[in-house]
Amino acid sequence: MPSSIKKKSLPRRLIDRSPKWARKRHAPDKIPYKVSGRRVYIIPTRFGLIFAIAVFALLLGSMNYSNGLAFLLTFILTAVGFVAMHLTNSNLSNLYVEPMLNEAVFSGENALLQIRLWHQDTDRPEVEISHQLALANKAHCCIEENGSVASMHMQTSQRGYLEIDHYMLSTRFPMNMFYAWTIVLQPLRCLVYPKPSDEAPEIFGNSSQSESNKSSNRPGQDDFAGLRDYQWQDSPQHIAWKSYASQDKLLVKQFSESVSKTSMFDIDALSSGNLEIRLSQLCRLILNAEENQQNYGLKLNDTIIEPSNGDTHKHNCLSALATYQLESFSKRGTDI
Amino acid sequence: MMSDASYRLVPWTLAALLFSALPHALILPMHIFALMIGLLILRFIMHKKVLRMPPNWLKYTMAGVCVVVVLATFHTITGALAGGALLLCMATIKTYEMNTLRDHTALILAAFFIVTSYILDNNAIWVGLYVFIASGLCVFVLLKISAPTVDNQLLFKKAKLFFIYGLPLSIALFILFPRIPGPLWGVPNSAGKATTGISDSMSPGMISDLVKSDALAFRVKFLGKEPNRGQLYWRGPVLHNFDGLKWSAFRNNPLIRNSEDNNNFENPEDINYEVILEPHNQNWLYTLDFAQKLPDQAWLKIDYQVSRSRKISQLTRYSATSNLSIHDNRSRFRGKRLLEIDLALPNNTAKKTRELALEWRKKYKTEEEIVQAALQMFNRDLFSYTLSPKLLDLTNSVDDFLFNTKEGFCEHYASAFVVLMRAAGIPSRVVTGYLGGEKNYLNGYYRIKQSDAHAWAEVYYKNTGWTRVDPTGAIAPERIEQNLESALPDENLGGFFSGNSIFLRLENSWYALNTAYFDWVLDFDADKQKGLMEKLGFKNPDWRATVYILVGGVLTGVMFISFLYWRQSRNLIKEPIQKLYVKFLQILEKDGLTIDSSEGPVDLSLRACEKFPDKSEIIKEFIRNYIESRYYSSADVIQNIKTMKLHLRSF
Repeated sequence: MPSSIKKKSLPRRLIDRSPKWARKRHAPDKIPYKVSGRRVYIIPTRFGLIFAIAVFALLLGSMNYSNGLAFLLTFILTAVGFVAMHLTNSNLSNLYVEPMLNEAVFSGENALLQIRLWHQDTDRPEVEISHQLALANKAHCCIEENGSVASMHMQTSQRGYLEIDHYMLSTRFPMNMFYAWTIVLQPLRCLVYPKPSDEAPEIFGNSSQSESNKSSNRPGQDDFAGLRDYQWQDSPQHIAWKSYASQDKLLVKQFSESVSKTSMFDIDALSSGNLEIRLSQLCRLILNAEENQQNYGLKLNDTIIEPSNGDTHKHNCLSALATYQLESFSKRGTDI
Repeated sequence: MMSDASYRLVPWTLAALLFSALPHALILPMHIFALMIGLLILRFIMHKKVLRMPPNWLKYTMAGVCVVVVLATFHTITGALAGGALLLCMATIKTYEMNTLRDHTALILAAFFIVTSYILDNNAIWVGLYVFIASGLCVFVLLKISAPTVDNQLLFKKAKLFFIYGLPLSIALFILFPRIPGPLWGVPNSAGKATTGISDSMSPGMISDLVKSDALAFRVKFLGKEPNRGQLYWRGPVLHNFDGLKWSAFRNNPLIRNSEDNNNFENPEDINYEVILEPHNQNWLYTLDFAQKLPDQAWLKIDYQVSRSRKISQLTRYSATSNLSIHDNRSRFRGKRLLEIDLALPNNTAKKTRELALEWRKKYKTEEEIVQAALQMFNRDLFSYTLSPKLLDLTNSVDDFLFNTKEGFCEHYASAFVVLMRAAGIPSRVVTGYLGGEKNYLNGYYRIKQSDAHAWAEVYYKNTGWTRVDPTGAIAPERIEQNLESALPDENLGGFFSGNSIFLRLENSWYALNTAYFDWVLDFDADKQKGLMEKLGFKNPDWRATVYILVGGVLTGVMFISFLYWRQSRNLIKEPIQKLYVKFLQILEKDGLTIDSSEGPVDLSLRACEKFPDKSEIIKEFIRNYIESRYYSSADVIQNIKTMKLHLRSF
């Protein structure tokens, strides 16, 4: 791209340096974080400068002709500039931001990092969120009355947690005369599963249907099977609100499906290739099993996930794969 | 290629440009203006895709043609008028090339300059209003260009903020911004601009043409004592040379003093007044006879004409002091040469007049008697006062008037009278100017219109010096005591509003408004700023005082607004969902449930259900919606909020 070869302008370099600077000066921000006016920086844009020059020319003209009306027009435009500065700044200051739970993606896919923004003012400012690594570099967001969600796409290349420790909020609205920005030191995370390999290894005999024909009830999606205690990560859609009303206890509806086969996927059973390839293969196996509505478990050395099926189970298994032997990241997930 | 956002903005930008350009219809030559408006309308038709956009070579050719047309019309491309015309041309051509948003912004910036170029020419009150609206439109279009995806409703909201914050700020800037007086690079005279008013020569018919105009000449406000109507002789050019038909000024009139020689001596009979003079493109200022303290930068000529070195090409305010009772006897000390000029008559003209004058000279002993004889003749010999006299014999106009037609206007009488006096050996001269004025009781300003133009005579008495003699008074004294209309009872001057009291009052209010506008907008200069500073308690204010006030005021304003924000944000709950939740808690608390702020929503709802079992369904639904909207990205937040509000209400 020719634009990347071109030397960056001074303001651009200034803006690009600001995350580093902010990180040095400030502790990570609370969640949710109310953008402090003291951390909003503002500089005039190119149009802002041109506008200022035009107003200055008008001022000289008014002085030369000693024309009161021309003075008035000049000062009206000056005031427009000042108000634009104030409004641009107020788009960001006192804005509330909090990261959202981001849906996990497979390595190689684009991660979607989402932030919820809201503002106490009723009129909705326009802001952009950005990060140097984000694709398309910035996402445009018009903040609605009830808050809105801004999202950045980011390329993933390896499993584990994709994490950025800050992001930038910026705005030129209204008037495009000033550029205001702030660095929010909130981590944005997205779990990245291993990339599923193209073909599943034969070793677990996934193609055979004959091993077991006895049906067993396993948690699934289709048929209501009973209630169990609410656990974290249960979908709110499955919470039994009706029984909650009578029992004062959050229960979750369980569903069952007819499952024909149980497999236990063990990483040690895969001999070929390095760790990443084996994890990819396991990933593919899990996906296939889920698709065929089989029961499956996972064994990664000490970590054993009992056979089951369903979305939650799949997520648990894939998360285990994603974070396997990555010590640098905790397994907490994105905490809210 | 034109972007989609740019395409949608085209009508807006065109409208802003067209609106800014419209007043130019009044100052630009018709062919240039018509060309521009035509091109703009054509551009709009192209936008509607009826016509195809022109190729590049055609645009460049059109730009070239426009420069040539402007050059051919004005013979220059600088100056407010020609520059404005050129800018308008270029902007119009540029509308055929609105590919990017940047093109749009450039056009709006050009529109600001186009408006300004018009202001420099005309700054009447309606222009002020028009400019305000036009700049508002331009700012809105700028707003629209800066955020083409945002809907108009939000933009209107923002525009409202610009109005609310911007207006006081611009007024503060206008009042407080240090004014540097005077031109920075010189004001070019607008080419080919004709103004009505008195000139420095007078031929028969000149003033009677002028009085048909209802245009304003100047406004006067007396500070303190006001003279009688009959004393309001506003002195303009003094005419010394007569060629038999035409009177003209004496070129090398010596200057006797300037405004710096004003003494501070105050005579109780002095009349102090302030004049707002409409531009008349001449050097002289109008003062009452005779000026004592001169306006700033003004010179007094030996015949008591007050002039400035620069032509009055814009509305000008000056103050002066006059004394109505003194005589001008200055020329007595300046040698005879000047008086000889005021005795000269062209040879071979006015033979009968000269004979009559010589006859009087033999008959009467004093100059005063001769003057009286002339006035009596005007009064007695069936002379009449009319705006449309019979045409005079141009070769011998004075004789023809005095002995033949015997009807004329003030200029005829003044001219004939002076010729008579000169023939009789009394130095005399014609003075032109205005007589009278109409007082607006709303603001105390007298309006002196072109129809108040007048010509009278001055004769030189050996004992007392120059004395005013108005021969018109002998024929039509009403002209002096009242006004022109009462002096011309059977001739309609065409005053539509005249005599109608409601219209008169409306007219007066309008003039008062105009004067206030002039006072506070057009003529707000360094002096007035200084006066205002002094009222605010600054002693000897200079530009530094205004800077202090400006900076101090802005800081105070910013602090005040920040304080409001701070106070607002202190007790504001952050998020709509959170707001609803807090409201929910408040209701529960009011109904007797103790709220522990560390308690989570689920636990809370359990307790609430225990306490209000009949409402448990609603409480649980509400909490479910709350948890879902707050912690799950998949939730339909807006829908949830709606249901929560519903629950809250039913609760």
